[in-house]
Amino acid sequence: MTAVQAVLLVLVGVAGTLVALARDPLRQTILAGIYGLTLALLFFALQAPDVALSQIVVGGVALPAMLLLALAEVRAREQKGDDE
Amino acid sequence: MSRSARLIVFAAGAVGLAALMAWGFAGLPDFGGYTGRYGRIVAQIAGPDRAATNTVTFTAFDVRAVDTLVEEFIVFAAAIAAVALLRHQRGEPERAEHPDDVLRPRTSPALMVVGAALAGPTTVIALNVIAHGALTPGGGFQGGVVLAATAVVIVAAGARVRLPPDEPPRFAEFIHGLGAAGFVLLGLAGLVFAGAFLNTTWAGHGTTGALLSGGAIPLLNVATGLEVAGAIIVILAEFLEQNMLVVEEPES
Repeated sequence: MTAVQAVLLVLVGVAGTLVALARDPLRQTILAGIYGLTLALLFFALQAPDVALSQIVVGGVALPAMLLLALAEVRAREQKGDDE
Repeated sequence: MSRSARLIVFAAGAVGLAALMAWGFAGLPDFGGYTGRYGRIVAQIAGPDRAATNTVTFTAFDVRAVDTLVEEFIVFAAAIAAVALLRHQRGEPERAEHPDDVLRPRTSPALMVVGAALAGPTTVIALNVIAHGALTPGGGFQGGVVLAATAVVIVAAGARVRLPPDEPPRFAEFIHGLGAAGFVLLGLAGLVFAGAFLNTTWAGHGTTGALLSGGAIPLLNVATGLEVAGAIIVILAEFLEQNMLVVEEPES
């Protein structure tokens, strides 16, 4: 294992821990996106560029987008509930 | 159980798990240490037999294309399930009465500038990733998601859209179905012209490194790109319509 791979492995561990420790869902979603990107970097360092690309689009784009939209949905409903 | 007792149980379990993990990891081969025969055979035939320089795509769209077909239909089913579930919960009588309403995104000037600047480049990247699937890392799945993200970027940039109130966006639904059908039809073409379902050799090999090389692999990538892009747009549109879009007021 090279130094780059070791550093990135530790980074993935740190980012994953931060996601688990975040309590605010919005903050957690953004951290999950960052965690996904560190994972993509690790895959790239392990010479798996195809998997890294998939990880970027799923972990960095699709998953945060769906979570953010779901959060917006929940907030809109809560506001609607407050109005009534 | 008291807090300290719980901590003791947790500590014992954690130490045991750590020991097991350390034992297991110690016996693992290093990253890239591969002793199987299958991978080596696949890597050897990708270049000479199919003129495909990306062995990963060659595996996913040729020797293991049936797996990819099933995965594609997982995405297909997920999009349809999302539509069915979210539609069921909706019930928006005011939208149903005005199906021709133009929807305007709830966006900010900063988002409009960034969205307008990114729309072109992301489209090019998406098409580039899909087109070069057989040559370089990437392919239909990755490019398809980027293509779907482009649609979101365009909406964030302030594009006015007209969404039918009781069905998914028609164009996305169309390319979603087209991609899924296209993959199966390309598989059947392999059955007809090359004697096996999803055999990709019928389309000719082409020159190694050329854009159109690798048999039917580029075509399968295009089908997958359309399917994935359509499916993700369908799923995101379900959320988008309710949250980011408001009915445009008639201009006075």
